[in-house]
Amino acid sequence: MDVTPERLLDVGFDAVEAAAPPAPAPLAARVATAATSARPAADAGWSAGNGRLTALQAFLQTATEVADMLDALSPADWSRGTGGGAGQTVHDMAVHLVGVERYLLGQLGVRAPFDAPERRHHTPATRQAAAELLDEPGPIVARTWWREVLAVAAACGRAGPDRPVQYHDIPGTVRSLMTIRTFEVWTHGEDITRAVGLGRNPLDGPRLALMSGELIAVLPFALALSGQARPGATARLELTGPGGGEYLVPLALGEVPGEPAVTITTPVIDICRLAANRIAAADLPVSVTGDVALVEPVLVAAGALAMD
Amino acid sequence: MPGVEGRALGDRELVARIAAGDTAALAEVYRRYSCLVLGLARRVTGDQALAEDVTQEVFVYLWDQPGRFDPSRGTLRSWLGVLAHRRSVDLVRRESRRSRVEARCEPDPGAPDTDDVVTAGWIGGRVREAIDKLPAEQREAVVLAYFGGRTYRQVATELSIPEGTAKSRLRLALGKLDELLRPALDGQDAPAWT
Repeated sequence: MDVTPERLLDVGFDAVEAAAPPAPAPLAARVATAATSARPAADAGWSAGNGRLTALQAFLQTATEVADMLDALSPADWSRGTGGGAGQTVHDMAVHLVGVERYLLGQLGVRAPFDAPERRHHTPATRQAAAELLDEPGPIVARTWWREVLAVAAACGRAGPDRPVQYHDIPGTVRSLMTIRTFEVWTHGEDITRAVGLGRNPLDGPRLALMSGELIAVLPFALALSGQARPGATARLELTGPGGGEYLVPLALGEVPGEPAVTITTPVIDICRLAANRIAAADLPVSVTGDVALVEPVLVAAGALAMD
Repeated sequence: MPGVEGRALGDRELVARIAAGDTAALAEVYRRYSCLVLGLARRVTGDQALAEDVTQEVFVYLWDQPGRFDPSRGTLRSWLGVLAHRRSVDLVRRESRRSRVEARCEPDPGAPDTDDVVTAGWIGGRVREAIDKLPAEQREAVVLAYFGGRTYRQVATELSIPEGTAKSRLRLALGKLDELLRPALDGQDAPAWT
């Protein structure tokens, strides 16, 4: 137990709180009205999820976990290597995260956009966007990233989930953008935990369901992009574990699912890691029934949209 | 506020949701901390209506400027508490100046100047008074830790006592401070600003 000024302040606050009667009921409504007059509430589209986790909430939950982890790093942790990806060290990785949020703020029209039309521009452009942080101490980078996360949260809240937005050469909506960012922040969070020797963060069911659902939705696009389309064929994907589910996927863009020619069963978390380029298709634990020739195109496409 | 998956959200995540414009997150922060904010404001202002104004101002400020709260530097509870205290002090100053102008009279030169007293920080003053009442061995430990920012290990080294003893003195000191501060903050000797 350390006695900090904050701990002593808490002692005083405990005493105030213990003696204070509850706030009068009308005050809560008055505060809510005054708040939304000062700044409007989020676009109504975000509350249409009927109690399901929204992509924006998933992003903020994941960013919170990574931010808490960054706050707990020792000075030595910041210079540990991550073994590739967008940065060579934990520090580089955090600078990269700042750059990505700034790129998003440009795409959302909050800041001046910068030129990064294709996925191959992702790493260099985002590094350039946060270049002033390259020599700053890790905690400054972490604090800057958190402020940019809040700016992204505000911009996405205002924009609503259905507004079209481009992520390099991937067309989508704010909802899909937030799902992709959940993917990326989780992936980079895992890169950092691995670098500093912490356990992996396997994510919970609601977020895995969100991410795998997005992956399934873009799979026909990814098949086309990677030249792996198989017109007329359908695959059944059985994703196991919390957040898993069964999906019928047409193996060509614009088609509707038909009778599945193959069933691929794999853990949902591992296909998410494949999509993030953190596990090779050859290492993915799969069981297959049906036309095995259709497995490779599906797995190649699943990893085709990874940024770094 | 339990999330959709039934977990309780921490302060950082709630503030992030507030940044996104989530009114349910603001309602949850209000539910957790309005009692403290209103209680502090009432003690400083001595007036229920002014205290409610301060409470509104504090939560609207959080809603409008969520990025001002830095989770790496302390808890949301402390941040809101300090903000409530500052805003209350500002309000008392404004009210005091207005009263003076309206009364068209000079303050009693023999009385302590309201601004000075307020600036000194009423809660800080109560905490310091309580520290003075601690037994000497607890006081020196808590002063090192509080004013010197030492950890209990550093306190042990500086006082040449075992770490366990330092820990126990600090624990006893905090318990005693809690006892001393409760009545002091219970409104009996709260400054009469109005």
